[in-house]
Amino acid sequence: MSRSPMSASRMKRLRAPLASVSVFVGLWYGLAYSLDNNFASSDGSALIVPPPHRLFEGLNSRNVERIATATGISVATALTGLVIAVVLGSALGLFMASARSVERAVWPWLIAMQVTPVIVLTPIIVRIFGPSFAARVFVTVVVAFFPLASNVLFGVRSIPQSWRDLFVLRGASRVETIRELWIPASLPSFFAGLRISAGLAVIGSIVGDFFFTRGDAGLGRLINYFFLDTRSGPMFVTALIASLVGFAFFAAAGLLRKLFVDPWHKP
Amino acid sequence: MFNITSVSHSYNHVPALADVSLTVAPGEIVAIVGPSGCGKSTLLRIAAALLAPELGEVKGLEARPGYIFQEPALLPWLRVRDNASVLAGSSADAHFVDSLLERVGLGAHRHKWPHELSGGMKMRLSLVRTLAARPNVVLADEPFGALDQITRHQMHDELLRLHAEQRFSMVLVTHAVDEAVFLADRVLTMSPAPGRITATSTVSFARPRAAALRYDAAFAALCGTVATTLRSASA
Repeated sequence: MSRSPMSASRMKRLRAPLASVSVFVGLWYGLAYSLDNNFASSDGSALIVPPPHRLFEGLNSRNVERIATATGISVATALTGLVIAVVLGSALGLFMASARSVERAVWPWLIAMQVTPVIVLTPIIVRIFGPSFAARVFVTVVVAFFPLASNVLFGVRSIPQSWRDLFVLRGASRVETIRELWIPASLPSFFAGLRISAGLAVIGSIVGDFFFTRGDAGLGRLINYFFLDTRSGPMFVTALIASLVGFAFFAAAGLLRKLFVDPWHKP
Repeated sequence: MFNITSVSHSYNHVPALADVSLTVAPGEIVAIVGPSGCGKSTLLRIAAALLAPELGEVKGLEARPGYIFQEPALLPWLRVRDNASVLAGSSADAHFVDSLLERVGLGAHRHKWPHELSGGMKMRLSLVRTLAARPNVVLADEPFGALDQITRHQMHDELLRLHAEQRFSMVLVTHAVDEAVFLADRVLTMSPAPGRITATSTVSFARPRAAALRYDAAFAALCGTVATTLRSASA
């Protein structure tokens, strides 16, 4: 039976990722079975690294419930933080693009926020806001904010002179120029920033979670909880889910770009 | 009629234009030829009020003249039909825009994105975008320089047809002597460092001008004359 050209090309595209996943799983098995005392527990479950096929051992209904609740909290935190970061970051990017003096005044603060590790900022934020949902979201906004602001600024700064001239020749107002030129012209770089920020929002919500010792645990605190358990399976499952959440955010940002930019943007 | 009077300009204290004056009558096409860097584009940007001159003034030009850039400068997020209306803005006459698109052979492509058009189609769309705002004056900065010869000649014919209908005045900056002579009523030659107008050649071929004019002996002779003035201006 002949294979259609479409499926042949899809197979060709999948070859490299499948190979890398195979290597990863192989290394995982190698690590699990080469560690001393990995299976020294009384019931034979893995103490350090569970092999892939035994990943879900020890995952009782209580743990599943905990993981589901923690995932909900972390996703809600990351999503709320990302939406706020998108609005504030884009607005600040446009504001900085409006005048060099604004950029010079704001840029150093943005850099300072970006280079200060979230693990350092989080205790300060928790101290100020208390261990609330708002504080969790604040941490996420701080982490996810920079790529959006800087990419929107870069997008506006990269607008060709001839496009700017068009709007001058038309006699367009400032608002028209921002709405009809700046915003659409900066969309490609905005979405490049969104992909980075989407991943950072998830990281921010999980890393920040370590400091929230009261209320329901997010994925960060739950990983810490399972870390203290003798069985390593639930900890690995939680880590895997955290990765999948990050991947889902990243993929959603890519999908939005595909919908709103790819039809017309051919770099 | 519009006048550019005694315009001078410099970049970082290097003179780009020195005491340039130019008068363009209604419906007249004036071509400016000159070597690279002689200030042709600077003069056009000053005429369009995209650049303020250090000295001199521009009078009689409408607030929003038509302007054709060296590259098509299409907005990639707008489809062909919307790009055609960008300069006209909210005052765009939809029927007029559509008729212009039909006229230049883009009627069937109005829902396409700019990246789906050929180089010639993009330039035709750029021309439509300029004329859709119904300007009395069109300023064109080497608009056909990047096109192949066949497409360039098609664009010349297209432009002359539209000019015959709308009777706009035009200042065309170009490197191509044959293009200047074929399209213009007058050809001005500029010399560089700083840019000045050094010669004026009147083109008296009757309008409408047919494609066959390009192979006429008188046309070739005039091209030769302008090319000679251009060579001496560049020396």
